[in-house]
Amino acid sequence: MKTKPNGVLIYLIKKPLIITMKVFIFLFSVFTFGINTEEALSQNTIITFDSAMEISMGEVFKIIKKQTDHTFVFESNLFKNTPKIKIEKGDIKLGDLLEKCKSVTLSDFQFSESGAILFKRIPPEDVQQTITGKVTDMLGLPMFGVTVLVKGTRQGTTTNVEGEYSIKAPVNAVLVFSYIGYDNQEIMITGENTSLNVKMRENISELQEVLINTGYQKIKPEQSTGSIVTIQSKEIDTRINTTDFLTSIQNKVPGLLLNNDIEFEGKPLFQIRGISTIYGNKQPLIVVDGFPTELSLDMINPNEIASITILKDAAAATVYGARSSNGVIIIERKKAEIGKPKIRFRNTTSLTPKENYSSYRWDKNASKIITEWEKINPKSLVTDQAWDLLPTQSGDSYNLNPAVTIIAHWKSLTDPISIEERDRQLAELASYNNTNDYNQLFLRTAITKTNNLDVSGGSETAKYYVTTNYAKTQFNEVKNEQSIFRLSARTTINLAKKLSLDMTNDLNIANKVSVPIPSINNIFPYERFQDNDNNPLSIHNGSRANPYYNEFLINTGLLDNRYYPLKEIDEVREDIRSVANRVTANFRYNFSKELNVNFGGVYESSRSDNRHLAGEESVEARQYVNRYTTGTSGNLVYNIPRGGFLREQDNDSDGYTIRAQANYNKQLKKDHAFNIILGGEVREIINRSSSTAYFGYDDNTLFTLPVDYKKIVGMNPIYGRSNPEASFSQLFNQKYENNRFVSAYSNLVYSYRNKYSLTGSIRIDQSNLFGTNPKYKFKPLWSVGATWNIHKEDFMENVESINSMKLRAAYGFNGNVAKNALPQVIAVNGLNAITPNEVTPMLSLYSYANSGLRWEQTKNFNLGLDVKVMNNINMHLDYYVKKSTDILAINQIDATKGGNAALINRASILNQGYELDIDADWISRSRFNWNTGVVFSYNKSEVLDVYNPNLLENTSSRNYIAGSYADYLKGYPVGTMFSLKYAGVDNEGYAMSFDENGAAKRFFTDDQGLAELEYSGSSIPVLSAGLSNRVDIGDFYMYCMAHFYGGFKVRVPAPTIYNTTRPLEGADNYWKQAGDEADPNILPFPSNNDSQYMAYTDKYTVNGAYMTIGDLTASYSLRNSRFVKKSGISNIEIRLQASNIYTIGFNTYDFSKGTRNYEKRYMTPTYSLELNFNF
Amino acid sequence: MKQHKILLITLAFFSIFIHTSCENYLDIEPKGVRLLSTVNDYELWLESDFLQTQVPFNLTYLSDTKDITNISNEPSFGTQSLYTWQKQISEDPQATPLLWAHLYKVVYYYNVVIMGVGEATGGALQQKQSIEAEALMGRAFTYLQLVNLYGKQYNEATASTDLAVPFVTSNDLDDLTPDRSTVQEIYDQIIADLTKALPHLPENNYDNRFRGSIAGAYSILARTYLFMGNYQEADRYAQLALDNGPNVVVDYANIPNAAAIPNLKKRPDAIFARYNTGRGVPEFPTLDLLKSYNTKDQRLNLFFSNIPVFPMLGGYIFPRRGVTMYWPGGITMTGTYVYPNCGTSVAEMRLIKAEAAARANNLVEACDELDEVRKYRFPSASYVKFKSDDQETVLNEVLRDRVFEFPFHGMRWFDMRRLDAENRMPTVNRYDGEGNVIATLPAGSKKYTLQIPVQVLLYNQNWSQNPWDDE
Repeated sequence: MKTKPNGVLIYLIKKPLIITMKVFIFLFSVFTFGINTEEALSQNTIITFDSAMEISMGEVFKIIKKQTDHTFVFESNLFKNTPKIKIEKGDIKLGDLLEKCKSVTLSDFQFSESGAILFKRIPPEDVQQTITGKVTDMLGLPMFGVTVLVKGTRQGTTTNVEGEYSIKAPVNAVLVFSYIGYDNQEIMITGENTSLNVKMRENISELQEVLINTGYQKIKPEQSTGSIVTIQSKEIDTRINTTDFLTSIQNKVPGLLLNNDIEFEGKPLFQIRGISTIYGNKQPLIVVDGFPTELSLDMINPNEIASITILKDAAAATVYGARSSNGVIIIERKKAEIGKPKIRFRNTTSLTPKENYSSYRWDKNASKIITEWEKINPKSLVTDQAWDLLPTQSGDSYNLNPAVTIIAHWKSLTDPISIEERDRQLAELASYNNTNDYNQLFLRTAITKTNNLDVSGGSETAKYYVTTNYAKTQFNEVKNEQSIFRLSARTTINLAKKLSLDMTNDLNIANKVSVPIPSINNIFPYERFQDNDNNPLSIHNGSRANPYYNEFLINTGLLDNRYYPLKEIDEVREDIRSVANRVTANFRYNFSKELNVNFGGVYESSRSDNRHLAGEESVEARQYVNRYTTGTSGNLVYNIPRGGFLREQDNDSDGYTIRAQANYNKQLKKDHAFNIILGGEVREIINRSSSTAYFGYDDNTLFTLPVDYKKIVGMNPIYGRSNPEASFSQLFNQKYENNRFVSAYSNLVYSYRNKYSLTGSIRIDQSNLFGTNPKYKFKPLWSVGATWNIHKEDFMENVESINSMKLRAAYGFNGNVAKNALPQVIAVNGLNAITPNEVTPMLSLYSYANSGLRWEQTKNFNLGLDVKVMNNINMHLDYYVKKSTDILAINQIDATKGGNAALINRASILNQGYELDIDADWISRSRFNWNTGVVFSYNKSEVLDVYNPNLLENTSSRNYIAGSYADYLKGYPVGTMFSLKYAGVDNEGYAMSFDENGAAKRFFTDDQGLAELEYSGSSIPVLSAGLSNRVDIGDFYMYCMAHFYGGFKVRVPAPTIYNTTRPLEGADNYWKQAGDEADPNILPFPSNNDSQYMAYTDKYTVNGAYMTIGDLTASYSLRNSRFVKKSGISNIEIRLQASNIYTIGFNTYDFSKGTRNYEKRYMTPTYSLELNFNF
Repeated sequence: MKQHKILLITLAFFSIFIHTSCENYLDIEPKGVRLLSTVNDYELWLESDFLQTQVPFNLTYLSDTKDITNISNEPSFGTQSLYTWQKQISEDPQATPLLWAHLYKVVYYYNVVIMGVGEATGGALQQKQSIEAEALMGRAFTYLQLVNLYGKQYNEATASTDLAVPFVTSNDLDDLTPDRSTVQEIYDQIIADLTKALPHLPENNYDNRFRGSIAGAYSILARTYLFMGNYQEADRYAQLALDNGPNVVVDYANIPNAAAIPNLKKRPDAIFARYNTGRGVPEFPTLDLLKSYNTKDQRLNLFFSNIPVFPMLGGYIFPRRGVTMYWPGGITMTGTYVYPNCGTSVAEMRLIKAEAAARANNLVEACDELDEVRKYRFPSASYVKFKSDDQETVLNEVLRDRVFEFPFHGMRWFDMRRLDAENRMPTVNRYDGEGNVIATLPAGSKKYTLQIPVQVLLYNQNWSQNPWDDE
């Protein structure tokens, strides 16, 4: 952080200094004319210089003597060794000249009545001179709010809107200029410098200057051996953050794979250096203000992040012990600076338009081709009895869709319709497509509005930073909305000379309202939502009773069982209200320069109330009532009372971490430096949840009706058999989970001449998760690392183009916690409800006894190179190998042992990869800067072992291609995809694939298992890259971020009519008669297997590589506008951003995962406008 | 110096903080889950609904009483493979091996008790022995199913070489799976376990038929000896079961509907109550089964939806498949869970005795025993006692009545096996919706002994596979 005034800087500030001096002197003269005393008269005597010169005091006296009558009195050695005085050509008043000499020579002067001028020495500390100047950034723009402090005192000020400051300071004092995100500048005041202009340098790319924050300690970069990346606030703040902070670091950190569009195991990708666990948590550990957080990431306001540090390898992360296997993300939030209150207000509005279904890859005549297909569908499940059974049968197989119902009517033996009538009815359906109506009735433009207010400031003894944030979102789905209020306060208090306290307090209140909007993919295109009089109509999906059976129910005295989407959105509403709180306090006591002790902790609590209300008229409530009604018409017994249904669920989470840590820094002689930390942590997390339910509930009277649950539990329904079950264990539920950890850790850094350093970490975690046997509770993890700062070697001295060069290597172990298993048999309480009215407590099996249970561990090796060249280009290159063993997973076991699957430590995964990160300021001028960031990551995984090595033999090919079977398969990457080798359609319309020997056969006939499949690749991108460019021109900048993902495969759904509501374009192009198979693009005749598995052929499994343009941001700052200056505002910044603008998929189908679904051809952009005010 | 003092105090604080409190701090009993430690825990373990519904519902898929009218022509998923007696239920190595996995999970439950209850706290020795005896009895009941699925039908001459299933006694996943025992070894073990359990079992279980009892162990012994073809012993143990437990048959003749049958937990004719895993799931019976019932038989009228529901479909003529259904809870659908007992019952003991008598050519006794069941199954007005003096006729009638009594109780497949071993089984066919034969189970087929699931063989590669017809 320390920067000595360097030559370049002084040179840069010299010129403006002289100009300023001139102005100052002019003004000074004007003013002093007004005060016309005798002394002033003498002082106003003009001395003329013929040319600019630098002269000693003696020479000054000579010139004055020559031009005036004054004489001089001074101690003989007073001016010995004093600096020379710079004189400009022209006239100068005597007084000014002397003032100038005074400040340069540290001597005071006085006019005696005799006209003699007396000089006397003044002690340097008493010379309080006023220093003025202007602080600018590297682009020359004035910086507002920079703290200027006289080092070692509490004397300080901040710069004004113009970046100007004025401070009194003794000569030889050091001024410290500080501003968040910038390096501190320390400049010594020499007598000569009454004006001091300073350029602040951002610490973003300062490899040498920024300390690395590991959450536990701050290490000098040249001493760090681990793979660590830090992103500063400027980079995070360049774009408008409309969602969460993660979006801002997407493809900014090599090794961090973050992608919301690609899912693995049902979750968006969010991982550091691949997947190293199967059943454990795959996400990185998140640490906020020094302590891990269990709270939702919503808690973190993206606008107040000072830096994000990512720890990737063992040397960096081992200190986090058993939770470090997936890497660690450390978030440091903005901190207060000493000075007057700084206020910043930010307003953001974002718009996301609704779906444009007309550009989807859906067949425009969907209704027609579906209804036409039903006429010829040979596999239609409708039998000639179906029509007769419709009115009396509940159950899924009788809930026929409208088109099939017409077919059934035509097929009926007892009461058939004619084929003409059938076709007329089908044509009526075919004449309508509901996409427009759906769009109009259920969707709207999504709007998010955010207001953010920060106030910060403070004195040397206490600093504060308070921020409030309110964000309100209306989602694309009608009636769905959310609001979040955040309040965060952070203070640093110096309680005593050696004792300080950091405190933070965060509050987060979120309210979310959801209303059930039917998915368009679940609705047949020919279904209408309302009739001509705008009365809501029911749709097939979700009705769980065909219209005839429904009529029977109503006639019997039961309720309408059918689903009316437009009615439901008024009847059902789910409110989720969550409140989260986080308090941290950290005391720091400095025993000495070398030793200090931290003691502190974090307490987190969150509570969320989920209130799901389904009104009396909702299908949800009606279907419950029907399912549990017994008896016959006239004698119906409503075992669930008629009325509304209310379900309430509370989730509580409380957790704390208490940490005590000693930090020891020692410089031994000149060459050896030690940095040791030793600490201990206690951590507890308690999660609770409970849910209750009410039937017969009226939200106006708040009255609820009693239910005899003994009758309900496990009841065999009579009516509405396919209606959802009111599962007692889901309606009434208590959960409690208590996890405790005790850990001790140490980290040691030894550095020799700052050239070589060695690090070592060790951590022992104990927890309650592995029962009482110490063999399972202890998990020592350790790592070692070494760094060589090559540029500090003598032989590098002459290599001027390389500013710094560092080689580092690290090796060690990280761990992962897997829960819910113990070596003993675990039982779980339950209710035995098989005998009605005699519900009794019972215990049943939760997990098997497994004496071989142990913790997972990841062996980690990392080799890295950090280079800075040409002052402006930073590069980081990393290579790593991670081998995870003893991975715990729900694995198939020998069923003879008591079941089909259990949690066991058997698997092993290898991850290897390299990463490159370049950050360059190509052009850096005072009003122009062009910065480019390139991030490139490559990760290749291989499952080295899974529980059963014999699985590869004798397996049906079907199992490898569908489902999740190949996710973890020995010898293949995580998330592997296999494909059938497509061989076209045969002369009966069946799809064919090539077998092992290249002979074509129908799908899955004479199955050869894995042998006949083609290995396609992984479903997880192997490559990811980001390219960002920012161009600053004066007060304006443009920023653009592009993302690339590659090295993976995607499956493109083949168009089909079979079993779909929204057929894709070209679905009609299927085999109809012999000979059609000659067309290579002909689709197989729609039938169960073929259509379903077409996507799993090599024809439809294609390169998934795609690129997106994530953000395009433009910003204009009005800090130099006259209007803004007049209004007392230091800055107004206007920013515009378009996100998710464009995507391109590099395959024949032009399918980019950026759109998430193949049906969708484009990405839905978000447009944001931000106004930013600084006071 | 002062600084050092403060440092020492701090370090002392650290170590106290971390070490002394550590053990207590981490030693927390998890909530919501329980480690089995007290005798009461094991009591509750035996109360689990998993054990009480332990009989595999899938057994009915093997039986010749079941009909699936909408079966696909290429039976793909598990239960359809079972229904068509495929070589393997599923070739998918990740699939759950139906039947096998379930039955061994049941065994696991009982092994947990047998291994752990001795060391449990908070109960008298007698109570522990009683709990262990119940587990032994339950495990024997389960192995009787396993040996009759994966081992050849018991044949005294070959039983000691015919391979059956492994006899697992461990509850730790880390332990090795034992090799397959022979049919004889499994039967010996079943008899030994039941004999070991008998002295400690409760005298009766009238307040909860799901729990073990002396009569329960006798009834399982009776069934065991019946399956072994040792009719004399079967008769003896059936009588012991009747003498030591309930000895009434629920009278279907004088009840308005099935809902009037007492609930299984306290059903008077249940000796050892067990549901199957599917309890209330209705089934389609074959038309042959429907037509073989006497139309007056209450077992037909109470449990098969027929005339009242679809009068237009022909009443007792049963002209169409896939219309008349078997409702385990009775056709009135009152929702009161009167499901059939798939454990042992008084009626089963009576029928065992009747069969034993018929096979011993004691035809009068056989007809009397049969009458002890049948007279409660017909309205008294239309009841005619079965009488015959032809041994084969009597035996056939007894065997037929077992089908009427236990059509979907998981009993029929085991009967089919032992009848086939006596050449009493005809070829059984399966038909698709159009009436085409899609699968055949010929007399004497090797299919009567299921193959070991491939999913299990993968882990036990030294095991030999059971032979199949096409090999």
